[in-house]
Amino acid sequence: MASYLVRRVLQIIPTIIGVSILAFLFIHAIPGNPAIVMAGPNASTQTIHNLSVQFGLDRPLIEQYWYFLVNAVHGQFGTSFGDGQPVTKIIGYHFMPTVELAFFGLGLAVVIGVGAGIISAVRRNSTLDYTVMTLSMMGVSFPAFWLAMMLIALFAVRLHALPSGGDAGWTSFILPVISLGTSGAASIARFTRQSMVTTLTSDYVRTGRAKGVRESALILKHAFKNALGPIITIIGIQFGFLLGGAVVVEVVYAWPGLGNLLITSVESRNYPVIQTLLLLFSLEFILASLLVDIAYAIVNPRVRYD
Amino acid sequence: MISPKTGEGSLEPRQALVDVRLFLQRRSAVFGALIMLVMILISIFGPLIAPFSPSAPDYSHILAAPSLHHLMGTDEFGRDILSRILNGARLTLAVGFIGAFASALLGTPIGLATAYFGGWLDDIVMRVVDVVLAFPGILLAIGVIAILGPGLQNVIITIIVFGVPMFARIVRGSALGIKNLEYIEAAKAGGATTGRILFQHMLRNLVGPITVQLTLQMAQAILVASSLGFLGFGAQPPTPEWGAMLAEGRMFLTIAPWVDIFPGVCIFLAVLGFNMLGDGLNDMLDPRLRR
Repeated sequence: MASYLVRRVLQIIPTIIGVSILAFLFIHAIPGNPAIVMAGPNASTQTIHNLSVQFGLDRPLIEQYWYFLVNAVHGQFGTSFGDGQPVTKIIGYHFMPTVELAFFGLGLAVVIGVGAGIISAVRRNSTLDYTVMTLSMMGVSFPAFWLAMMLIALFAVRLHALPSGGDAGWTSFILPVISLGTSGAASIARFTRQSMVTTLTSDYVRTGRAKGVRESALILKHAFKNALGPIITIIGIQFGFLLGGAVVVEVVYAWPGLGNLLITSVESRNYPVIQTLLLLFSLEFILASLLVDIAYAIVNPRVRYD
Repeated sequence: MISPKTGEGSLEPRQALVDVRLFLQRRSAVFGALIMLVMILISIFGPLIAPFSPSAPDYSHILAAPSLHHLMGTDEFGRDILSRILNGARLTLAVGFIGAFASALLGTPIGLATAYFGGWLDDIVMRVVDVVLAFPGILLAIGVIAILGPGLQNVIITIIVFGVPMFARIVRGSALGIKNLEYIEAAKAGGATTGRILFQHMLRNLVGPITVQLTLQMAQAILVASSLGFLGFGAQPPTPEWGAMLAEGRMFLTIAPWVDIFPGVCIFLAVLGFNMLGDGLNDMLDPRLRR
């Protein structure tokens, strides 16, 4: 296990370097001199010069990348345009709301998705199975922002039952979490069903049934345990979609998180903030994939000895 | 490339591209194909059957509720929502088609070549693919839009930027499974050129997974384009793009929900259609799932 862990951790290093290069090049991909673009149309030459120095834009590219890395390791990502605050501080304000939203959204997706998937697989080809699979097909097709708007129209405007936005108390979590978790739950349900059908129809489950193992033990202990690998993989992939979905859902609910910050930063061309957010989101995604692979190796020992 | 040549093909482990009977048994695939057909028809004839102009304001009928006169109601400028939806369908479909096909056209050769040649080419290309796909979907799109600026054309570019590595990865995965099969060996022994092996012998047996991915990619493209439109990064008003219509209508959610309901239902149905078609095709082409 230890050697597998080390190998897997070493494997993500090239990806992290690549992501950092892409995030670094982001500033340089803006058409025209980045400093002039960043400074805006009415900037003085002094402002442009200061920006060039701040980002080291007057140095060779390799050297700039090196400084970008060194600063990043030290947690320095430059200052935000407009208010001149350190980018890390601004991101710090918006970090927790998104983490909470993503945590509950993923939690909802996993609980409902895995549950519905198991039920569907056990009762496969029944009316219940068809209903669950139809719902899940609809679930993956909903645009998250539209679902969010419709939930507001129904529960906040029509029924006055739940708040339509903001971050005030646990009730304000309900609608955003549903909007965010729905497509994940639907995806996870489909994969869980597929994975469970494979294990439920395998020989060792039939043998267990013939031996007289209780049906509930058969499903949960024998079949589910072996179906877990692919399910964990899809949960990891869903985490990436969830981070993306959080952006639009946060906008609809005026949620004070990273997604909203990203959109306002793009609108105001606040490039240092955008750059850092891109880096942060992708690092989270890479980390999640790593955790998924480790979890996979724990439930499926065969992987470790590849 | 699909046309069978005499003498070869019959021994290859190839399935017919479309087995009509098998297809018709899949209700979801049929439903998805129907939605796609309706979308194509509306894209062609939509502007002709639209009862009103999609852009001319009518200030005497602002935010009118759905009625026999305006079946889906009107928006804040009194524009007929049904007419706008009928005119906007071609944008949604175009983004889906162009985004998915361009991704396939660029990504498939990359996937084929990396699988076939392996070695350093495979290592380098797949690392790049990993890096691009390490940015969660729509975030990459927003990053690209931040560089290129908003607009429908740039939305298509972002979809391709994400779609190409996706296709490369999937085609490579499927190609690895067939590259050591006997018929490829036979083709090699028979003196077929590398290009012929890649684009005729291998590609032909990957038509299934590529078609499935193409369909699912269209669904994704429509979702991403409408999300970007909603965020204000895609088609700009007064373009009747469905996502942009939702962005405009968002302010009237409390007083005129129909402005937001109908374009959303259309996006949902379009995505659902492509997803169901892809899912049905997948079941059809994967014998293991036929149970």
